[in-house]
Amino acid sequence: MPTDQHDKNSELSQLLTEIEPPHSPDHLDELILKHARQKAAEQRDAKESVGMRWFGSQWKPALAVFSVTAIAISVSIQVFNDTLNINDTVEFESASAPVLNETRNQQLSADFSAESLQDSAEIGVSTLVAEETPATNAAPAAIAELLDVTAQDQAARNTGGRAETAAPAPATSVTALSAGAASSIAPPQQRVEEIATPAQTRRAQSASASSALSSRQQSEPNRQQLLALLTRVLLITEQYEADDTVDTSIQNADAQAQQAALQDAFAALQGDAPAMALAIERYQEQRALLGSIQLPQTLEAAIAELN
Amino acid sequence: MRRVLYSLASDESLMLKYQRGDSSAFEVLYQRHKNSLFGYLHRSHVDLSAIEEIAQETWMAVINAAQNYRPSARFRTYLFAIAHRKLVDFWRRNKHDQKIDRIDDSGESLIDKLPDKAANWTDGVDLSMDLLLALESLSKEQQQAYLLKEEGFSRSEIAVMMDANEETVKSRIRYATANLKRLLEVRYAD
Repeated sequence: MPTDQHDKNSELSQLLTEIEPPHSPDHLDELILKHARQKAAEQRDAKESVGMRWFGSQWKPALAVFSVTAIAISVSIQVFNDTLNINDTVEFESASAPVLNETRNQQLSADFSAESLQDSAEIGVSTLVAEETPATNAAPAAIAELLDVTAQDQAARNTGGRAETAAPAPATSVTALSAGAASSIAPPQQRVEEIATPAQTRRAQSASASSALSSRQQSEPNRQQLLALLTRVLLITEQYEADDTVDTSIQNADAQAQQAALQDAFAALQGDAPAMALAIERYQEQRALLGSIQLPQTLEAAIAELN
Repeated sequence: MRRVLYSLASDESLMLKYQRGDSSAFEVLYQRHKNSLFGYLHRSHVDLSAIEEIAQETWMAVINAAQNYRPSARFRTYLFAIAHRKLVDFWRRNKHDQKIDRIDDSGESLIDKLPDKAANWTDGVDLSMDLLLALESLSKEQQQAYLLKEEGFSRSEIAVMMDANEETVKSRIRYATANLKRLLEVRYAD
């Protein structure tokens, strides 16, 4: 039965498809298509007008927004570029030059300046002492000369210009004067002598001190500075710069041990040209940072002086 | 050239092109479905003037609603759904929710002559015409369910068009088929 029903249904469908319906009349087609074209044209016009109308009424705010956005972007780019330039500069410098420990550098400079101040203070003292002594030594001669002049004037006044008769008088007066002056000067003379003696001693002392100072300038402080400089160049690498304890330990080491270490380090560089070039560059740089202190011009000279 | 290309396009893409203002896309779409729609309306209602009126209203509705068209279903389903609603509206306006009385040239009702005609199938009776008459004797719900099924729509699509559930559509189709067979008595005798 189901099969029969399916066949019957298909027959009904077949009958239905055989019905040839009337075609859509032409006038109906034209009417519908005309209306479709009209609607399409209206749609196109509406889109264009909406776009232009919007543009016409909104162009000012749109332009303002665009301008603000453009300015904001350009300013951001400028700031970004400036930041990049600063960073590039820092990186460039750090890439080409050895890394410097600012705090260590300042400390080193401070140490050197303190020593120089101390030295200058001592030098100043000795200078002061040296300056004092010439003045005290010159006192008797100046007084004597002054007395001679005074006597000559006095004689000229008394004789009225007659020098011969007045001569003895002036001589006497001068002698008297000189005696008196001597008597009067005696205490100053004594004082001068008293002063002269310590001054002389002090002058000798200052001379010896200044000489000692000068020699000390050339030897002990310079050596200390040279040791510190060479230590920074040869022994203290970047990895130690951040660690002050290591740096302190190196600096506090025995001078001889430090010297030996420096010599070993320099000898190790002999076979490594790039490392040697870097050490030379660091030495020049550190030497320039220390300013006017008299240090050997080259690393090799510094090692030679150390030896 | 454009028409040739459009002939290969789907109904939905043509409708979207028309939505953007391309009238030639609609022309292709219209040519593709105008006769099918006209045939459906003809099978639903014999009055030719009424069919033209309903067809015009259907296509105008499609054109006017083009901007709101969304390809959520087949375009043909969309088109026939509008046509079905226009047909129902027409029946309501003209109070044709029941059978429609077709008359021949002498003014006699064709429906009344149907059983006599059915007895003489083998004598060259226009079975197709009788089928049309039989269709019109069905209730509109059964007729529409059956015709939309014959147009190739699924039960779910018919349910959406007729605003009913699928089971109701299924029963309407079954009853319509049974009634048509009974009325026609086409080769059903055992």
